[in-house]
Amino acid sequence: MSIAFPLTDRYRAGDSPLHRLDARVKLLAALAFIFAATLVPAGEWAAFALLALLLVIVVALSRLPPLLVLRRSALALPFLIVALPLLFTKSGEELFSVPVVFWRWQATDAGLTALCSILVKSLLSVAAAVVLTATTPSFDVLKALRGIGVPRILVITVSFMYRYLAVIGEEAARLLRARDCRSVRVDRRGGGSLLWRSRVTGNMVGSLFLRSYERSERVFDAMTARGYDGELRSLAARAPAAGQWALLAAFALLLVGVEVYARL
Amino acid sequence: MRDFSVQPLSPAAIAVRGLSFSYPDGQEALRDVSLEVAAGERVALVGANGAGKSTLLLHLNGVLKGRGDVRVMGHPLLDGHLPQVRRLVGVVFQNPDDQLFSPTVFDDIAFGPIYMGLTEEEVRRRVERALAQVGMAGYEKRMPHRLSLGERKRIAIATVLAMEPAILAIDEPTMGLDPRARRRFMELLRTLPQTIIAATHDLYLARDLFPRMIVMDCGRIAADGPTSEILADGVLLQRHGLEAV
Repeated sequence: MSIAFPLTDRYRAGDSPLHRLDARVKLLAALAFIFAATLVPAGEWAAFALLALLLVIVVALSRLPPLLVLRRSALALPFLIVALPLLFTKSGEELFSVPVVFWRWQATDAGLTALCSILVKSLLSVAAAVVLTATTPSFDVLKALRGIGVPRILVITVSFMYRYLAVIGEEAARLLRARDCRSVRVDRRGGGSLLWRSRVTGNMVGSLFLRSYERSERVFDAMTARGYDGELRSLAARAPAAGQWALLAAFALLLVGVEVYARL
Repeated sequence: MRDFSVQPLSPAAIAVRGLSFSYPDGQEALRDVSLEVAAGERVALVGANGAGKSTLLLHLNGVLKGRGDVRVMGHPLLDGHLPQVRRLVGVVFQNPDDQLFSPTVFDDIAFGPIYMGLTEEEVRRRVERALAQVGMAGYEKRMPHRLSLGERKRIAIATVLAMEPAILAIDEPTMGLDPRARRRFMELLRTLPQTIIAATHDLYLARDLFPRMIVMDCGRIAADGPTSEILADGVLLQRHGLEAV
């Protein structure tokens, strides 16, 4: 009855030292790494190389396929388009110029450095997040977010979203299939104007929203039936072992070292 | 250790008197419904779609509040009594996707016990026991959306069993299940010690598991008696939109 909805979990089951690490420690380490990568001044290639080396070591420890990490990190590339104007707006020595209508845009060496630095920074940051989500089950990431003090209401909202993504996705797939079953073309041209078709699509989106809204009321009833009183409660999480905090501290110190080195 | 059992105030498990309810859109779902269910009884609630079966079930632990008097083991469904009543009556919803709203099976089953204020140790013990009871030990870390419908239905029962209720109110226990999952689910229902009131279209299920039957039609109780007698009355069944088995 159900239509498979391709909800791919980012988590890759495994038993590496990184998989066994407490999710809060991993989350904080990833955040620290992203901050460190962001704070390195543009053009400090040696510092970037050190950070990349750290990441390579972590990926090796996680026993994740390196290609998987690279492929998922490519997510950062489209955002580079936004940074493209940097190439032409920094003042510096001209590398080449592009004719644009009445004038020429001058690409500078400083611009190139800024652009490449942003590319490296975003790749490093996304790769760190990729390693986190690939070695930590999604609900553990959620609990870790709660554990480091993200407001409970935000965490619960994300967890509901995650829980019902597949359910609502399947509902959408069923709607689409029902439409396709009835959209028969008699001649080459399909019937109905573009306006009519877009109205059908709009109605489907509305219907999906209404269904989700009604479901949310039933879910609320189910919560109420089991004692929900408007207060969000959960079991207290166990603190990570002291050794894991030490590891996190060591990692943070390494990052500080890289930052200092980049500014020498 | 604190005693979490709720003392019964009367011998009847459920006593409903003159209950009427209209949905906000004006649709009258229950009209002057009265019934009594003794402790340990198993009652099938049958009737056509829209007869008011689900609406009645939702009144049994105060999710919906109509006019009239509803008492569960003598506890009235008033605000001060709701926590006790919700502990006594486990409502199992028709669609397990509505009932299972947490990222993992463990979180879902632990939800009720956590709201009962149990200690962490007790919560864990209850989750484990409820899973064993429905024959799904070891499923704690699984995600509900990755389970089959039959498995989700069993987990849905486990989410209320963990609260150790005296009464189970189950909406459409066998709907959508294939024959094997249905058979296993019926076996599970057979083993449960609770008073059970189940809304169903499955008259075979009613015949096999529920000695008493209540027929509902247009928000009213049309017949209430031994299942075998009601199922033998083809005219009555047809009149209320059902079919003889």
